[in-house]
Amino acid sequence: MNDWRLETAAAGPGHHPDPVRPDPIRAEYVREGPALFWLALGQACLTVLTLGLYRFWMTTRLRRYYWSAIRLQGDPFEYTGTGIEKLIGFLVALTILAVYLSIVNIAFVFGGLISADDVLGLELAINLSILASLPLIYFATYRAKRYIMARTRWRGIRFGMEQAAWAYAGRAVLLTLLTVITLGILYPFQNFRLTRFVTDRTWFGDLKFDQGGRWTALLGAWAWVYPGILMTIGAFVLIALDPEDEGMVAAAALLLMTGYFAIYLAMLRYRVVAFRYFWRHRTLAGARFRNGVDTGEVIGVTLCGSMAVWTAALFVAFGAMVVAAVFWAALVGEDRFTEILDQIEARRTDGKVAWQLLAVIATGYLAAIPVAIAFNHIFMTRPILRRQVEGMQIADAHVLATAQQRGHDHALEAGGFADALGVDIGSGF
Amino acid sequence: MTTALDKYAKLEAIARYYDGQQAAPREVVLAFGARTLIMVGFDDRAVSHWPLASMRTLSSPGDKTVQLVPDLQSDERIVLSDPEMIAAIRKVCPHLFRRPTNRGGVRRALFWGAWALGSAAVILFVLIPGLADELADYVPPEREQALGDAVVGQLATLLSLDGSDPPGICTAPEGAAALDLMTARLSVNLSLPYPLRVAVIDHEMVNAVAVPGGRVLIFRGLIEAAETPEEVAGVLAHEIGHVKNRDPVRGVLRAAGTAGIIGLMLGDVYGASVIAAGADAVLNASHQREAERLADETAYVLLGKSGLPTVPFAAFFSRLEEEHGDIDGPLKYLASHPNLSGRAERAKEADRIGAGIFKPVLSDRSWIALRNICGKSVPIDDLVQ
Repeated sequence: MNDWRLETAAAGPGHHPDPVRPDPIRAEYVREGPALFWLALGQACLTVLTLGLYRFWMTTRLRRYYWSAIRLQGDPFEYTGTGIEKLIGFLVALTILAVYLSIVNIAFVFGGLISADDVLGLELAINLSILASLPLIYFATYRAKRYIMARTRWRGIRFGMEQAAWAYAGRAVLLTLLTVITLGILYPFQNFRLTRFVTDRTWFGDLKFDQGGRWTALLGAWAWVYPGILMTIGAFVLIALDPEDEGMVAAAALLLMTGYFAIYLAMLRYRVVAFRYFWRHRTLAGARFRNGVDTGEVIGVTLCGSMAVWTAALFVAFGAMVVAAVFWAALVGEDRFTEILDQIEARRTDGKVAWQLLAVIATGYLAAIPVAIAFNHIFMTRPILRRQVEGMQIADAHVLATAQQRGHDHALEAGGFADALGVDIGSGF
Repeated sequence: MTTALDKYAKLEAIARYYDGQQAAPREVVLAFGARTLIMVGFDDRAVSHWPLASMRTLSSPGDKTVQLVPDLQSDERIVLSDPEMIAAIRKVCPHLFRRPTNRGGVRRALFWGAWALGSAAVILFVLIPGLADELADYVPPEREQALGDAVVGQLATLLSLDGSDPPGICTAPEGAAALDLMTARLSVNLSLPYPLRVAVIDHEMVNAVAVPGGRVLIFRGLIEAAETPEEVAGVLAHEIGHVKNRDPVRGVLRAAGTAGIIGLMLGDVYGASVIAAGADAVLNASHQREAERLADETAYVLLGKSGLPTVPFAAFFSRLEEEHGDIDGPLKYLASHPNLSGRAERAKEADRIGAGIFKPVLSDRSWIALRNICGKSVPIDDLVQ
């Protein structure tokens, strides 16, 4: 059993409840170096200008920024990945995935064609083909995590993860199936087992992490998604009862939106609670962890942050389109532009005008992307990461100093599968 | 010779040194030697010395705590917070922030880039169409017919979405006989795995579709828009071309294969799903246009074999273009059909009869009957049973 509490650390300096043990150490998040907004904006602009090719270097640069901001006992973390290895990993993964997915998708639909009697059956087959990528998504998730760990160091000592991506994918598919069969009730079980699988295979030098705890402890937090689910079911029942009654339909729509929002909030809360729980029951060769990140703060940052990101993106998109339209008007002359506007209104644009209109819309879209990325970093990624890092405490941290170096893990595919499949591995960048 | 180094000869600072073997920190005193940075332990023993020329930092300019390495391959680290020493090191280490270009990596990336582009092209334009064409032949005809019936049911639902009654199937006996006559003339010596079944649907849209299982539906609006029976025959021959090429089934299989490939190539860039969906639509439309072009070619052959001119088909396209305009600009790439003027030209070229005499596809009497086929109609569900 753990014999120290979060409260002891909060009791203030000079307060030593246990004279033998030093107080737990706190991780720090340090804001120095280049301004994140301009860094992210510049990198995102390069990504847009290179049609997405630069994104591997952007991710690498931003990871280096974040890693070096995290300090433990004054020593920064470091990220040693490179853009070029990410690009190569992506290209290799792309080739394999393209062959696999195209053949599997055709096979599923062919199976549907020779066995289905109606369109519904065929549609089912098409949807089932999405399942074919499920093991790959889990495989990619594990591999991407392993790559990140293999490129993370502290005090020059590497982190690392064992090679177990297929074992992870197999378990993850079975657990997902279990979650689906039990209507989501066993999601905490899936979440716990997969997290334990990863943690138990994660190393700092020659020291191994260990995940303790019980999955049932997460059930309480997970139960909060069910009021929202009940609300959405209720909304559908309301509509089914009397689809003609306008008042009823309006009430159902309101209930549906409230339900969705409730589910979203509950999931957000669950993630934070689970994050804290997993850290509380994690050990690293005797060092123990606590994370006191505040649920309300994370939810607040997420809600306000996403609003800020959307507002900024829409504002910039609109502004860029206005500028492009003014430029267009100046180019063709006022009279011709009035003509064009009439054409657009009557939806009778000829080919050339349609191309120019498309260019104006594309300008707005492309201008909004870097701004959305930069705002996302300063209003979501960094504030949440900072809270998670500052919430971290480590007891018996002296064992960390005993870690011996581990060998270099090439991890050649460098998260390429995750990149191609668009898998978010939860790091947010 | 005075160098910048001489200025800092007496400078010393305390830093933490990590040997790259163990995570245990060691307090050291940093000082400059001849072209080196010297680390001395508190016991006065030299711990290490690093050549200044190969020293690098892992931190960003502006960081107040910097991490130094003797070279980028090394596991050794120094963590330093002394501002004076940091400034001095920045002065005397010329390449502190330099990262060498990974030439081997660039070569490998170029190789894999070419490989990925090449394989994507092979997958999209050889593997998927080939596989779809091959597998289409293995779909049992009765399954395809059942599926086609289901598609007809869905079509009826779609056409009544605006609140109108679902359109019926036109069954006036003389009109039906005329339609059979036209179908028979066009499908002589045509071998299909299922019977060709042509029907007119009571709807004002100027359109005709081939659904899986050998069924062709001509919309009433198309017959009304046509000026001669040969124009209808041209469209019917085109749809028979789709049936002969098994396009409905091949289209479903191809679309399944290409779905998601573009998304893979774009990865997880912001909003890439929108671009991916757009690119997918363009790709599907290009497959579709190719299928339409081939159906046109089949139509010219069928018309030729039946002793019918293709010029009326061309005239029909030209008239549609005049009445409804053609699609130009960016939307051209999303259109499922080749542009009308191009088709009209090609249809004219394919003509084998020219100004010569031909036996009309329908007598005047039959043509009038066909135009009045919707005088009687039955619900679309009756067609399916």
